[in-house]
Amino acid sequence: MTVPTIVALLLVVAFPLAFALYVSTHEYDLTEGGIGAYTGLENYARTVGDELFANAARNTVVLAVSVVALELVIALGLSLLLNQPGLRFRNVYLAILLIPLLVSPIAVGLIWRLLLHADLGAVNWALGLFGLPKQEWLSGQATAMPTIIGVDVWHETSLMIVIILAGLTALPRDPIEAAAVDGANAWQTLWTVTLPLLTPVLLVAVLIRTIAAMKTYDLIYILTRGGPGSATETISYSIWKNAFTTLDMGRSAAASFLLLLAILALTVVLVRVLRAGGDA
Amino acid sequence: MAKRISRLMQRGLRAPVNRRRLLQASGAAGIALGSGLRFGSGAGAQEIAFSRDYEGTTLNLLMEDLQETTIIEEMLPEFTELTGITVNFEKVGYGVMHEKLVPQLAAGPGNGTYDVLEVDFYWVYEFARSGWVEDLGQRIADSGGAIDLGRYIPATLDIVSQADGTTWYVPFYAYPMGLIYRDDLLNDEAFKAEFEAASGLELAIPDSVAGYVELATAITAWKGEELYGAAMTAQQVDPIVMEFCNFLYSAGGDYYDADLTAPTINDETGVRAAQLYVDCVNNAAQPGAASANYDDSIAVYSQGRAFSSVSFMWMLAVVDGDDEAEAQGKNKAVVMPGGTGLSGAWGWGIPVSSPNPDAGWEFVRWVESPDVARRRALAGSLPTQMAPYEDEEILAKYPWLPQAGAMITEGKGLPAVTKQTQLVEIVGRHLAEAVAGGATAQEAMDAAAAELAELL
Repeated sequence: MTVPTIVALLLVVAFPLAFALYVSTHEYDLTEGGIGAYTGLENYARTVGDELFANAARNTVVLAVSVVALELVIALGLSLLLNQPGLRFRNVYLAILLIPLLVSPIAVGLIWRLLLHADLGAVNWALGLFGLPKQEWLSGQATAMPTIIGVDVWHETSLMIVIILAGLTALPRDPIEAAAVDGANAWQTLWTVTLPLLTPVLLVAVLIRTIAAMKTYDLIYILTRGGPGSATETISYSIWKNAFTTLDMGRSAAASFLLLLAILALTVVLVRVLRAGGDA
Repeated sequence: MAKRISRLMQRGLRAPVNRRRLLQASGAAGIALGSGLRFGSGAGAQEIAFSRDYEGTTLNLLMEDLQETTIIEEMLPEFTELTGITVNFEKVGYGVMHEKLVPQLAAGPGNGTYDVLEVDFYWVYEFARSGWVEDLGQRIADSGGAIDLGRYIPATLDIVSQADGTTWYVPFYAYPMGLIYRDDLLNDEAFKAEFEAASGLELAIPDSVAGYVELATAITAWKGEELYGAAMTAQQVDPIVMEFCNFLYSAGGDYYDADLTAPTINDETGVRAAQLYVDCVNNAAQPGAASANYDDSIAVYSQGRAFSSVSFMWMLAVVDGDDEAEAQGKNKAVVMPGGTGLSGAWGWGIPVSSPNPDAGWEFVRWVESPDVARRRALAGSLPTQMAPYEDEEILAKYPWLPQAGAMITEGKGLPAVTKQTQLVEIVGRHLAEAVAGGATAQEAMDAAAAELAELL
């Protein structure tokens, strides 16, 4: 069993990665034929030194940190509510909350594009009912990124709920009941018992969502195309743009590897935190 | 004939366009079956033979999902009957075409998926200079008269056929841009009087970009949400640049100097055009115009909530073909105020990566043969060949055709840089930033010029 597994992994994972690494160290502009001369780390240097890439990196960090933090808080709150003993219609609430998870990101983008349409959208119509002015949700310099964050939170919080609720359900009941016997109120139980026990699950949820958020491409493509200007351009969108607009595959591969390294580093940190928590 | 066409198009420069019932037109074309086709009116009689050497071959083409594609699709059974070749159209939205084509084109000789290319005017240089498409010179010479570039409007050859002195593509259909406006309002005396009293301006089609922006802004200031002066399409990246080209060209500007040695987008004219465009989006257009795509702006215009739109001629077909549109049948079109709009066109090419280049060329010979081209025009496709522009039957059905021809001949494409797609991305990004208030027009055009210089 081991050999076929290794062969499959080599074919499916290692070969594409190795090829991308090879491309990232060579000149490879699609308009100039095949893979050109070896350029060492030049593509990496050009990428890192590119102001647009730096802007995309900043946007990616802002987006990832914002959506993960908001989703964590919202999902934790909703999961705690759903986990209350004796809650009526629990499954109905859960089913409703999970609907966004079932919708593809492209469909989510299109739905929200219509809802946020500045002139004909339901959101501005609703604002109008309260006498509030129409907002340029997707084309305003100040509103575009918060709007993307909001849509992502709407879409992805469900996943956090699934993970956290599963963790809450699996928590041992004894420590919680012991805290209650000792006279702890609900908040004290939450802060001193439930959350510490739940921390490994929360870290896993944060890890999964951070990795996904750092790769956000589809919402950007559908909602703003990175605009206005480059206000919502993320690294993934920038990689796509370089590959299919500039046709510079060498730089795109280099940027992809930089993103991969960033995600790997983040993963290592979170896994270490997770292990440290487990050892404690 | 070319002089007569020119006269017709000159007439079109002055007269507005009415494109009613265009969508209903498809299906009206006759069908000619048999082993040969006969040229239609204006081209003289000449038999064109089609080979059955490729019988059993299936051709794959990536096509934009538009009316022109549907028109051809409905005629494909007769091509199959003539040649034994089956044609499969993969119809997709414009936005994904380039990224689907590029990997196939770069796949190497015979290794691609697509046998014939539908090439947009701003992929012309990229595909040709990358060595992805065949030089069609010899094939055209050997086409037995089925393909004769002398039959095409010369402007379309410049825009979508020839690059660096070589013919790479055969023009397929044109999509020029112009000013579409509400003719009913323009001729409503009470409306005119009220507008003139409110704004101090005369309600008339302006003759300059500045005049247009002033008029559109005044209408919006007067009517507010009830009627915007302009329905605009300023979504980043492609739509905003296509629309802006009309402002830039009609203001007398361009992206580069005539010799393509330096960007001129940030000279006085370029910056003025950018400022006029920014003003128009922010003061004359519907809310959200800065993120509006064509569906959005057409929706606003169709609902009768905009006086005008700088848009493609096919937008008229959509509005006038929509029975539920408030603006249906109330519209006309003219060349962009200032005189030079964007003129886009699609062409046919044979990719080097085509698995069936000869059978593919047989398809191009058939689809561009005079009779088929005439019937496509009769069904509502905007022709690139000259004959339909003096065909009485077609003119009777589409009286707006001279105006469309004028837009084509007076219009311009994009500069002849290899990476025109990148040019569009650069300009779109910086212009969108100016529209959003993140940069002044001068700053945005300076930044765009710095990046455009790298494309030379």
